[in-house]
Amino acid sequence: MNTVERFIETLTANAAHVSCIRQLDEAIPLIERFMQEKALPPRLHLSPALQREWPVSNGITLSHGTTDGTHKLCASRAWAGIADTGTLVLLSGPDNPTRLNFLPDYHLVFLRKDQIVADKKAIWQKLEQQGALPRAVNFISGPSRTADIEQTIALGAHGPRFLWVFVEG
Amino acid sequence: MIQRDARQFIPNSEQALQDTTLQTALARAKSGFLGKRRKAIALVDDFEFLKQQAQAAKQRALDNIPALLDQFEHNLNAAGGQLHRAATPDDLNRIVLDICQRRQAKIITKGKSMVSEETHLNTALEQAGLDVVETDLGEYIIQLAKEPPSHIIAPAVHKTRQAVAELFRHHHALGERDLNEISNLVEEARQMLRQRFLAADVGITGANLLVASTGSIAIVTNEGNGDLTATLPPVHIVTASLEKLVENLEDAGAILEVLGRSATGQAMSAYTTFFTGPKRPSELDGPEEMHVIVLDNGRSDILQSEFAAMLRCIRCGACLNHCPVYSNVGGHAYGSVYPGPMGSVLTPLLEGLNQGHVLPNASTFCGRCAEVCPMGIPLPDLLRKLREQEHRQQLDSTGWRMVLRFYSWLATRPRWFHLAMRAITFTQRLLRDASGTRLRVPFSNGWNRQRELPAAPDATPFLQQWQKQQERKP
Repeated sequence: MNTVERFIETLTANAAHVSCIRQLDEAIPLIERFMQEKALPPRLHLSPALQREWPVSNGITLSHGTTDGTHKLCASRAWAGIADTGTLVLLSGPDNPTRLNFLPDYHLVFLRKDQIVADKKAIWQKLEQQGALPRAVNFISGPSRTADIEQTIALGAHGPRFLWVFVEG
Repeated sequence: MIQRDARQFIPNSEQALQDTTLQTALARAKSGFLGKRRKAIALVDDFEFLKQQAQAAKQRALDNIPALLDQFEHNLNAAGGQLHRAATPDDLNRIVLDICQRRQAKIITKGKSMVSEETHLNTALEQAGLDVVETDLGEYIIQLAKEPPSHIIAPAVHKTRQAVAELFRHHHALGERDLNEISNLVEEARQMLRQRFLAADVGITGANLLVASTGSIAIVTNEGNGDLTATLPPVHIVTASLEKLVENLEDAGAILEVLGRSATGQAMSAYTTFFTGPKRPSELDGPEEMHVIVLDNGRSDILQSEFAAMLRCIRCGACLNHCPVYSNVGGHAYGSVYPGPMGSVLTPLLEGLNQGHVLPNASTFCGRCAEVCPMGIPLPDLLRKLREQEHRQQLDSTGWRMVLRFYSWLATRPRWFHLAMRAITFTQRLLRDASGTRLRVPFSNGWNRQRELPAAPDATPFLQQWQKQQERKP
């Protein structure tokens, strides 16, 4: 199994949804169909990083920036993926407000195949090379969950109930 | 009523053993934790290797704490954050309160922090008129119930879903609704706490790691409450203790490899975040101020003592889950902030032997805690050392001291010892119950109420057999 397949397998085991696309515009019909199925208003809130590269999507009303919790669907760009644990790594910055990772009900994350690494070792080296760290380095391995009542896992404790990862390339 | 006093361990555990709701909850928790950890470890090629890496990383840090703390401070400052050193629990509470008052804060959200339990921070903040809301679901439940946590990673593990539903009905004025399903309870807490997250003036979290080379703090959660607490309010305060320091990111990574697997049976928890300072000028979100308070509370002394290994603890809770004592009496019986084997070592060290001397006796020395500890802490050895100290300082009971004195007299006199053994072998035949497998010893009801003393078989005692064998030899 190669690194990308392994990443998809482990992330799926972490209760995330994964879609493979060749390029960004292939995500649009998938998102539109999802909004219809879930009877969600066709509104999507983007991180500034994604907003700059977002293709024309007439069926969806777009907004961008950080969020105050009123945006149900938010989309961000990841910096890396870790195959061995099914983990996304997102870095904060002017282009990547971190509230988008935690406040929406549905969090959509875009990641290129070449950003996926085998394990965390490569990540530590990559981060150390960066020099000073960004304010927040978020490792996300699936949607928010809790087992605080009777050891029973329930999704959507405080953060996103649904994590949808688009692997591009 | 279970008392919050470590000296009351024995009466507390008697009550706990008779509490049927607690017993149901404990049985469920035990099987859950053990199974999840076992599965997670089976998925790793070589968990022993990961443990060694984690232990080496922690040991490197413990050997160099003062320099690492300075380095951490330097890098945190460079990122715009501020370090505060708190020698005592009161110091920590005062530093937090000063920041809250300077910011004229009213609502405080909190992520889970055992250090803040250690300093009784909530009480201090509430006494100053602040509105403090715990946001970890387990912590929120016990805050409503006005109880301390009963487990270091699952604070409400002693509560059943019915008990949680009752608490929510009492505290949330939301009218008639279905709270039978766990998912409904989680959803209700989400709705209630979401408003508080957005309204909070200050967010307080703990830290699983302090990284010296970058000035970062790491928080591991599954709910995401730690991140919301750290990100939404204008001020983020971190309450951590000295031994959370590691040299660099790779060492932090080594500890993360064993933490999740040992605690909840996850290779990675849903959220692990490294925070380095407050919001940068160009950023759209993040707190305006970030303060990291590092609590000593006797840890510098522990580091120099024969108990230094205890500071390797990463609070995964594996020793609690595998302890036959903890899993029968639960966390509250310990009457201390930290329960179970790690708590039985830490409580006397942090609160003094006078307060905590009973807890090292809350162990059968079965050794499972040491076996499952990812950081290789020799918990039974440390408990034994504390029992020795208890005895030396004459804190154990007079009756027990007399028993020990008599035994040491007997055990150093072979002739008398053998005579006594023969007498015991003989008399125990008279004390067997009807089944012939158990003993009924007079005046030992305390022992017999919850345990059985097995009867010895009829065979000749070992020493007599040995002697005979020696005599037969040519």
